[in-house]
Amino acid sequence: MRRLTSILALFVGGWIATAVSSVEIRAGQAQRTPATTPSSPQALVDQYCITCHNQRLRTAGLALDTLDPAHPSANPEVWERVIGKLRAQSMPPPGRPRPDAATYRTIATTIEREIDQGWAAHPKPGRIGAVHRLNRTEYTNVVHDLFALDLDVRPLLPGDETADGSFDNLADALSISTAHLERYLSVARQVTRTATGLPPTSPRIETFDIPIHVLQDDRQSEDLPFGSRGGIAIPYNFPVQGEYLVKVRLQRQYQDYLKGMGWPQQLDVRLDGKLVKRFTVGGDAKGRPAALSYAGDGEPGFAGDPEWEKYMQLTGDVGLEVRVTPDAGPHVVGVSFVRELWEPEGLPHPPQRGRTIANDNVYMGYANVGAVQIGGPYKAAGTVQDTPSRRAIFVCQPRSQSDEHACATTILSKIARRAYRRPVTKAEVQGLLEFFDQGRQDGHNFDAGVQLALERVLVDPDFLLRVYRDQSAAKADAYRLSDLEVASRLSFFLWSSVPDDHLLDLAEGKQLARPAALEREVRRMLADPRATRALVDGFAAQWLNLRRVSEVVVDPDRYPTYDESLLQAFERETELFIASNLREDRSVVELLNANYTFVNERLARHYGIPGIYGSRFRRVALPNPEQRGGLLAHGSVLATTSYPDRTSPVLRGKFLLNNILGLPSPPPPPGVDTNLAEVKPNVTPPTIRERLAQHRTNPSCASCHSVIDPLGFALEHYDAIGAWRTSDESGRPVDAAASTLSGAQIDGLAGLRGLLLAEPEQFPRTVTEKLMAYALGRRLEYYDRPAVRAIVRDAAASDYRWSALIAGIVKSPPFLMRGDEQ
Amino acid sequence: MTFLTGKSLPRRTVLRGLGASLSLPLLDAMLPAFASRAHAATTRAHRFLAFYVPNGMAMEYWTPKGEGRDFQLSPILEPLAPFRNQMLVLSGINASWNYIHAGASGSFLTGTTRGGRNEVEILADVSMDQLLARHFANETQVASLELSMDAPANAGACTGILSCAYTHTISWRSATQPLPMEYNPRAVFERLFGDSGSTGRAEREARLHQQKSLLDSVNAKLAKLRQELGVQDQAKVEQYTEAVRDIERRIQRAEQQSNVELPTLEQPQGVPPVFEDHLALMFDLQLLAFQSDLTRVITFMIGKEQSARPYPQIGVPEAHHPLSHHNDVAEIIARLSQINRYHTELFSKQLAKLRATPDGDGSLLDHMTIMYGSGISNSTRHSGQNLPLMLIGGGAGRLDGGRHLKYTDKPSIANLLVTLMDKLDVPVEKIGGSTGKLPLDSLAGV
Repeated sequence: MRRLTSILALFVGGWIATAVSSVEIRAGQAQRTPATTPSSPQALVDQYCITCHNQRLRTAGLALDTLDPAHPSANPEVWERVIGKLRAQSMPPPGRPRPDAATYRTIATTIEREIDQGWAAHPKPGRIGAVHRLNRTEYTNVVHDLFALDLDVRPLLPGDETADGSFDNLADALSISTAHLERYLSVARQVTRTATGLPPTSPRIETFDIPIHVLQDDRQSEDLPFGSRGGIAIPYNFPVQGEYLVKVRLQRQYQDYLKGMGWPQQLDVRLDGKLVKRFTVGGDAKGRPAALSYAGDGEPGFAGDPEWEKYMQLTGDVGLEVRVTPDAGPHVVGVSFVRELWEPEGLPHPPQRGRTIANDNVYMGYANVGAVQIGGPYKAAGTVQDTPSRRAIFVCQPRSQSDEHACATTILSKIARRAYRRPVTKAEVQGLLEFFDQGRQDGHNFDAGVQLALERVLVDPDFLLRVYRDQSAAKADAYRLSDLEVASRLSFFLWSSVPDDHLLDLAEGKQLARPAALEREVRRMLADPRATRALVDGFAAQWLNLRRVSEVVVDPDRYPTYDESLLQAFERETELFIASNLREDRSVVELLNANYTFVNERLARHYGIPGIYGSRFRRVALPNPEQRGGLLAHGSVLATTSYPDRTSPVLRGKFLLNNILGLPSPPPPPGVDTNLAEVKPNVTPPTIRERLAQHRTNPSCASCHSVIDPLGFALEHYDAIGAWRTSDESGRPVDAAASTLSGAQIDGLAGLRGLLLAEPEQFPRTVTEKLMAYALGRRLEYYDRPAVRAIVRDAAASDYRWSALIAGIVKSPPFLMRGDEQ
Repeated sequence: MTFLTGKSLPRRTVLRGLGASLSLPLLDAMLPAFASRAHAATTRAHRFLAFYVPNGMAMEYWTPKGEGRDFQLSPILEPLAPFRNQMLVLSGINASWNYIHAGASGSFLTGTTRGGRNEVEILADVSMDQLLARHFANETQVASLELSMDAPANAGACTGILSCAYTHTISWRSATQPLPMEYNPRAVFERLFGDSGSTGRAEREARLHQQKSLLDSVNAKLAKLRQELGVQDQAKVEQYTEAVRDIERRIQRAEQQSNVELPTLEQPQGVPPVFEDHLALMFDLQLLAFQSDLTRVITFMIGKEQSARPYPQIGVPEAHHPLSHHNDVAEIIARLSQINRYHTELFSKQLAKLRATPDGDGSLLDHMTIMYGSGISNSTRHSGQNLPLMLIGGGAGRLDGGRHLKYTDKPSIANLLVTLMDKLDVPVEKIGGSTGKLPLDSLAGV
């Protein structure tokens, strides 16, 4: 007799959250194969579930013996949990008799069908919170759409609350605090002053640093010339016409010595690609250099001659500044070196992290740009210039002072309509005009009046909050959202921003109620480049944890080839990959099995793809499909699911389960020590697989980990930074074969892909679920599952293309309707 | 939008750039809300400043001769003679964590006994200033300021194989969260005074007036919105309303105080190229922040640990850090002492300003405790023994100055930190690896 004291962890579905009880498992029953294959839900429940889940034991709070499996729609909440277990094949627990894979699927489908029929007759759309605050990304996009202004306000606003693997646009999570309002007041002022072209209160100097681990041995940007090396291209909004100072600081190593000063190099400063000035740096150090190391005796100290020290620390990059006189508005300031076509003789020291840059590289290596400062405006021209923002705002100009109110009314009504996402009332315009008058009086001109009124628009609750007002006439338990509410929902879903005039016109004309019109609008909006941008940056980046790529830390001793440029390439690869998949409206299944990806030279080298040169990303057909192809072999995914010093089959398995298979896994039960046994020194280290074997022997671990770990093992050919490997951390050959709980054998990437795509609907369903939560701004509940299934079923005919999934979501009751207050 | 096309610029670079440019003011131009003026009037506000000097000290030129009240100022301390009666020189205290240069700054205010083992493991303990900051968070607008004369390091290892975090800050919000120190006076100004561009009264008042009317009209709209929503849905509108009220209260306080004339300081453009100009701005900002009670806790590094800054202006063109590795050569130690003395000269000027600024029944300096020193003594040996440390200021009546205390039982700096918390009336059990308290008032034999 074996006793399991905690079975909380048995429930991989995560739906069943409470009740810890004890279960007795008769040893003799453990491996017996079932005598008959159950043909109905009732038979399956009787044969496999009811032993534990009955009124007497109520294991995990679940009793199935009193429910009718033939009519699950009477208790959909319970039965959706059961479906989750069946789809994951995670129940019965390991060691107990279980149905075959086909039975799991058939019975799950039968239960689903009955629930879905019930739902179709009486859909329950759920209820989003009445007040939905804009998040930082949305705010930034709106600033762009309202004012034609590229200003990333995200660093200026408090972070948006989000749970791991969730989204930062869930209405209930987004709070409003004093800190928020303070920042909103501040940002509203800064944004509107910049957009209206009011001069800054005083000149300012902005500094753009380049992180030390970003390699600068190649062309850094499409905005820098061919034949350039290193540096940075800075998109910069010059607030007014005037004189500005561009100043370059070179990179220093840890002792503050300038790098690469042993020989002369040419440094260019450009404005919009045009050369402004060429400097020569390096090659002028006089006297005895510093010792290469300060360990040991010998010369007191280790400094070089004072004149050498002075050059290397102070004067070597002094005077790298130039004045520019751009027009107001957006420009690109470029700073880069002229690429040399020769290389110094000798064996170059391999790149190092840590102390970085070995001493021999310090002197004869490349000089790098450390930071660029842009200061100004000095000697502002005083005349207001045409900029994209001013063109967007000042759609009229008053001819005389008596004309000002009329023109201000035109300007403010137009912008407020989009900012509030509805027609504005007369009273509101009147209120804005009062601010216009105050600003006009304080600032002594028309523009200052408009600025203050726009500042007022940006702190309005109707701008910052999406508000759903209950429709008083509604007597049913759910009602259809107004056309204006649908328009907002649609634009925040697809653009992460406010509707444009076209969409508002449709909504005001009550055109969105017609499904055909709605679908046409979805297609129009998807064709707009904003849709790809927003869905990649907002949806995919959070679904796939891309925002965490930059936080990856790596043990530099184990992975000396890691640098920040590689992390940036990881992020970029996945973004470009998803963007092309979306833009070309391909099947989402291709995300897993594509035979192409996007790389630059740095990433191609990392992936073992030959013949790719330069820093530009391009689409390549994969020459090594057994190693690469699809998201699962992307460095971004592999690195964010590793520890600094080793891979983690557990993190990878959990990622696959939650984000690809759509089967949430619960956290480890409380009180369980989740640390693996320490590796003993001076013995051959065990493989990670051997260390994880503890998960199989401990029953409270086994139920989840026997689902999670095998998925992760299949990716063992990729090290902690996603490079292909044939031997693992312990030095032994990689073993990427595993068998799943249900007995399927998988080996490596191909095997894993086969498993994930074995059921054609599985992955599209996951994408739809994630996308729908993002679209609705709330977590999905059991009553949303029929809608998800319906969308996926319908999308099968169009190969699960993005447009089919997205249109399906937009036309679904959860998107178009709102449940009444309970 | 910085997406695909603009992606040439690494995202973090953009953020850093804009962060520096656009500022995160607590509230534009909403100036000294003097949140705790009323409070300050009844109980004297006690401010804390940690002043860090890097690369240890030429100890031969630092340690005073004599003990107790009978001590002679050393060459390095001599510029501080005018403040002798508010000065407590402490000898014999040891660092709690000694690891090349990382331990020096890493343990100075944390009293930690541990550190990371490689470049990416960043570990110490919460620092004393942050314990104070937590305490004062509700009383002042800015809980604490962390300031430096050096740009922060964005990555890499600076000392041995350990992260640059250790040498670039002395302030730790938690055991794993080193706080970056701000070196740009413009950013500090914006943090304190918003973006009105000046501490001048007219500018402040104009902006306050605008903000008040903005909030008034928002308030009206919120009231209407509340009526339109069901009871269940009102919670978030309540949050919003509460936030508006909160800021209105602060504006009210600021208005009541706007007749207080502050020394007018125009917003600095950025980091001045000359060290002394830069330092003067950083000093002025500290003075203003204390004077207006915007904060009571400041940490300041006149140089990051292991700083290589040369001082040609005083005839020492060698880089500071290599110079501090003097191999006990007398002539080099003498040159190093010139840098150490230059620092106390500069510090002395700031002390004079603090003393000249009235505060309650005395001066700002009377109501301050300043901890001055380094977390390493002899840089050549990377020694953490017998640290160069002193306390300066009236300590709001809690510090008995004019003495040189010598500890013979090698107490840890962590014990000094715990003792200072007592003096600042925010007693704590433990800081880092502290084992007890330090007798400051009644040291045997003094």
